[in-house]
Amino acid sequence: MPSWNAKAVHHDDDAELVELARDGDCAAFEKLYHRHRDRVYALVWRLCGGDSALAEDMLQEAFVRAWNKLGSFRGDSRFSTWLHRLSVNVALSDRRIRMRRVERETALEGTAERTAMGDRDVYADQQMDLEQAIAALPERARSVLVLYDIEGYSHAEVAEITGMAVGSSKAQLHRARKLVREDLDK
Amino acid sequence: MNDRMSEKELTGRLARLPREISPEHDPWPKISARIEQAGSAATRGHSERGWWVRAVAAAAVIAIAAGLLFSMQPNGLSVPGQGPAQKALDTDSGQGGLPGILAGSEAEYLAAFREFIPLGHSRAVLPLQTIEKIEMGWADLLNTETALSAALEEHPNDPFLNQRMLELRARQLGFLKQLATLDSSNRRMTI
Repeated sequence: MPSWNAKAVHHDDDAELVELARDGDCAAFEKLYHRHRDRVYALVWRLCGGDSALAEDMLQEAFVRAWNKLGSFRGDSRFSTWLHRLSVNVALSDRRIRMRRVERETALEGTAERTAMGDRDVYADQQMDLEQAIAALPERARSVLVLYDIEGYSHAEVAEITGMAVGSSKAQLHRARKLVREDLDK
Repeated sequence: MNDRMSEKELTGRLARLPREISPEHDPWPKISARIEQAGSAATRGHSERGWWVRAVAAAAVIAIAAGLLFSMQPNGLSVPGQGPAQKALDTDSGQGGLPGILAGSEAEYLAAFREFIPLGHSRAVLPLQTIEKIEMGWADLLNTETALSAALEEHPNDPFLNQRMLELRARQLGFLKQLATLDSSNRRMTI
């Protein structure tokens, strides 16, 4: 069962570990993994609509891709910023997610979209209600809400990542917030 | 939750959601196994361009090498740079100035190739469909180049053929520029 991890993480020496990992040091990469794992997992878990098995796959894929792409990380941004962006791309581009989306949209045409949260008792009730409302959002609306409201990306960045127009990002956010509020008001 | 929940309250609650969650199953053993298979990141890290650019460059080098080989044989392919443009220039009969423009295009085309170093590289970072599209696109351009080169070998001053070669070179350069942009974008954003 996942658990919230509120520990403060200091990434001041990420650069040193990144350098070592870039030179093939797996132990250094493992340290980076343990520093950022929970943060990345939370991100992809929400983008996956609370599907923990899929989110664990995404977590794995994101770090493998990070290892493969370390050579292209130039240090222009923080490692955590680079890693989160990569993880978002992994989560949004994964074929399985797209397939699930198509299946879901076909099966639930004209009805509110729901994504299984499983039967895990993860959060305090209030947080759980909110997380469930987010997970129940349609795919695009959920992506925008998670990236904008939770992760702090701008609409321009959300648009770039998701491939939608800035105006669409704003519209999806408005729709997502409305749906979440309606869900919580039930 | 009351039914008067404002947007501000909602965004406040969203902002207070925990930023970290521990996965139920730690995937590190699987990650470790995969990255050990993938080998050292260091060998990949020194590259400035993506594998596909090098793959294209490698294809170009092979094509040029093949051109060199065939150019020594009757009715063979011409070598880019010593090929249709140059021959047309050598025998330019003043038909619309196209051969001169074509020679310039050839020079730019070769210069673009010289920027790339053909090295092997993992393809694991790109989806299979993307790889196939890139390879098929470049193969089409090379096939067209082969056919046009052969035609220009026989008719070096044909304005239509020269125009077509000029257009082909433009397309090939555009292709390379797109790859460079894709590579740059991939490193900067898609990652």
